[in-house]
Amino acid sequence: MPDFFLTLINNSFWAKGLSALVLLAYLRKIGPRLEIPVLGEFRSMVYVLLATDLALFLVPWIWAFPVLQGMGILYFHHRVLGVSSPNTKVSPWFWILGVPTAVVGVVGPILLWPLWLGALGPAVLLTLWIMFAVKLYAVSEFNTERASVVLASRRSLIQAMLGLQVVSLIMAPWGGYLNPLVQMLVFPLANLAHTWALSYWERTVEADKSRHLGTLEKNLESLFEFMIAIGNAISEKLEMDKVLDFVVKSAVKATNADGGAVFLVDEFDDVLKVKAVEGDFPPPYQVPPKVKLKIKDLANYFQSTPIPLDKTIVGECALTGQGIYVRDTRDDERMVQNAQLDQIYIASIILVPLMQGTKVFGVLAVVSRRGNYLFSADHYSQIRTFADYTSLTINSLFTYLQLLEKQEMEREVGIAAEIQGQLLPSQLPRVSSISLAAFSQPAKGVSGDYYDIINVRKGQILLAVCDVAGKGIPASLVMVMIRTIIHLVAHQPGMSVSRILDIVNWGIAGKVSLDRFATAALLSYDFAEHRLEYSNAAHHPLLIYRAGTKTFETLDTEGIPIGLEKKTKYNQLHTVLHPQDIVVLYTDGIIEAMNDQGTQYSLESLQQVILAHSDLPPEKLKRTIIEDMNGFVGKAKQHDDQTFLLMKVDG
Amino acid sequence: MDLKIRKHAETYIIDVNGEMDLYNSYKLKELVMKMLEKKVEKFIINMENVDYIDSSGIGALIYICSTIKKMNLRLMICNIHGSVKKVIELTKLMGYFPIAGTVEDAIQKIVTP
Repeated sequence: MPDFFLTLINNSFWAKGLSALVLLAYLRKIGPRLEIPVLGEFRSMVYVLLATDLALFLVPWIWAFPVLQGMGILYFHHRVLGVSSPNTKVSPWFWILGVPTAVVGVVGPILLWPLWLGALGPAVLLTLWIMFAVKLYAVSEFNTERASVVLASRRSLIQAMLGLQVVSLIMAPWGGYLNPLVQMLVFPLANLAHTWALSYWERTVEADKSRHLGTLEKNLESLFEFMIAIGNAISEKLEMDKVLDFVVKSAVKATNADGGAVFLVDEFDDVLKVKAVEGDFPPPYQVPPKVKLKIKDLANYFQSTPIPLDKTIVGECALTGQGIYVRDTRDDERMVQNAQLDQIYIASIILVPLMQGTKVFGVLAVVSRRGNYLFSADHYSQIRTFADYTSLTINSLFTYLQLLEKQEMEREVGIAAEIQGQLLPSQLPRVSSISLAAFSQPAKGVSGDYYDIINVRKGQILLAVCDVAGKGIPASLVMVMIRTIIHLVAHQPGMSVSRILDIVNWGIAGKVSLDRFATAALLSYDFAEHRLEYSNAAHHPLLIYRAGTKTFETLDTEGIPIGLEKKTKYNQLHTVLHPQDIVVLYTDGIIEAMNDQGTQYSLESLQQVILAHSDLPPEKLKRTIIEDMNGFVGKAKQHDDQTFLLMKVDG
Repeated sequence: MDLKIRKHAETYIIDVNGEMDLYNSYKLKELVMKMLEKKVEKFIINMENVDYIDSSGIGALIYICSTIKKMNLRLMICNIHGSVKKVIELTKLMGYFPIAGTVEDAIQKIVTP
């Protein structure tokens, strides 16, 4: 009985089988919590162990055992490494050394090789193991994702496995391999180490997941805060600087960074300028040696030095419009200087472009200056979300501001329209020997056109047409000035039309902003002498219809617009009118009136209507011209004011 | 209207795209004023892609032109065509504005005054 018991205890199968069952039970317990591919591998490995033990129990090929098992364990280790870090591949040496060893281990016992040859298997296994250990120790958090699990488990893994290999190497040739102590302690312990590594890995994955969730939540929260703050900014008064300040602050807070900055693209210098800085943000580029010494100098240098678009990592981000994420500055040649020098030390940096439409208008950046705090891919995506939202917001703000400006302009135009209503003559003077008609229609609420008909004295009349650049109150004021001057001087004896223009120009030039220039044409007609005088300041030439020959003439004089240069002198021309002659003063809105096809009404059309209806009195001719023009234009919207004056000599 | 700036040696070329009218001519004015603040000395305004200009647009050009003249800096306006050219001719400002044919001509004229 004791003999049987001893034999039983001395047989390795029971001990191995027991440890395998314990392992399986343990796996069953933690199994449901593991959602990882390695688990299946591990479980099948235990089955393989159990199967080899059973085979050994029945056909005791001792040498096959350590080799097969060792290979399985090594393969398993590679799987652990492979899953925890996709970059680590099973080395070809593993197969080159491992496969022949396995063959020796299987064939050796059949051919009854001597014992020492059998020890070759464990010896090669030991070599493999050392290789594996070296590889494991080459893993650092800088070259491997999820390096933490390898780092934490590698010591115990290596120690346990080394013990196993040494024991099998020493014990195998002397048959001590069947020692129950080895079987019961060494093997199960080594196997348990794997299981432990596995569950540790799983815990890390879970922790990772919950951290990721936490980041997402925080991301959402800070975005929400951001949206509210932007909303407030709109309802009060938009200040771009404040928005950018806020963006940097939020970005720094959300990523737990040491510093953040916004760079804005200078519109025409092709450089980036530092706009807002939060916390501690050293220049992410090479700085001149002099500057490096003092922190204060460094900050000044950073704030005041524009960054060319084609230089530095910031420029690259703005130029390409692509985000840049440098996890560890030591691994990136663009950031080497920051990894080496303490004053400008940056451990990790994220840069993302700020876009308006498709145009990059700035760069948002955050840095970590702690060697043990590197930004993760989560941080990068968070900063990207921030930048996207900022871009979106700033886009809508710009649109909103433009709308406000336009509204403001339209309101002003409305006020100006009222002023102008008072300027135009409310009724045309009734005079003998000529008939008059006037038409003026603003394109959008208020006209830039001004016309006037002044009864200078008995027997002489003055017609004026004027087109002031721009609209709104400033343009109306210029109109008031011109009107006032004309009215003041027109009545003075000996005043000619060119002289009036000289004086108007003298009075306006230098007094109003240059872009408020005006074109003007003045015409005076003496009833007794039938003499017409005409002077033109860059306006359309005067159109005269000669009833006698049924032809058209134009009168034009040199001279730049009113209001540009004080010294400008205007010329004048004169002609004699005959009964039934018609003179037309008009602004460009008439002959440039456009239809849907983009064709202009043209001077020729105007002439044709006048020719065809020259027998009509001016008031009726006016209506005919308007009808003809409107018929031509159709529903096309006009964007210039339309004004014309008709004067027909009676008789 | 859309404004783009490019650089040729010391000369800044402003490419104007779209219509120059009451509602946007001020943009060009503002841009040039900003550039003057930054000590830009040589300007070319490229009107190649401007098919319509109204009196506000002309006003903006006059303003820019006279400001630059007063500061003794250099300006060329180039590639005026179609209705823009007609308007400038009509307002008798062809002599007032420094006008060049193409951008290359303008650069030539700016470099060798």
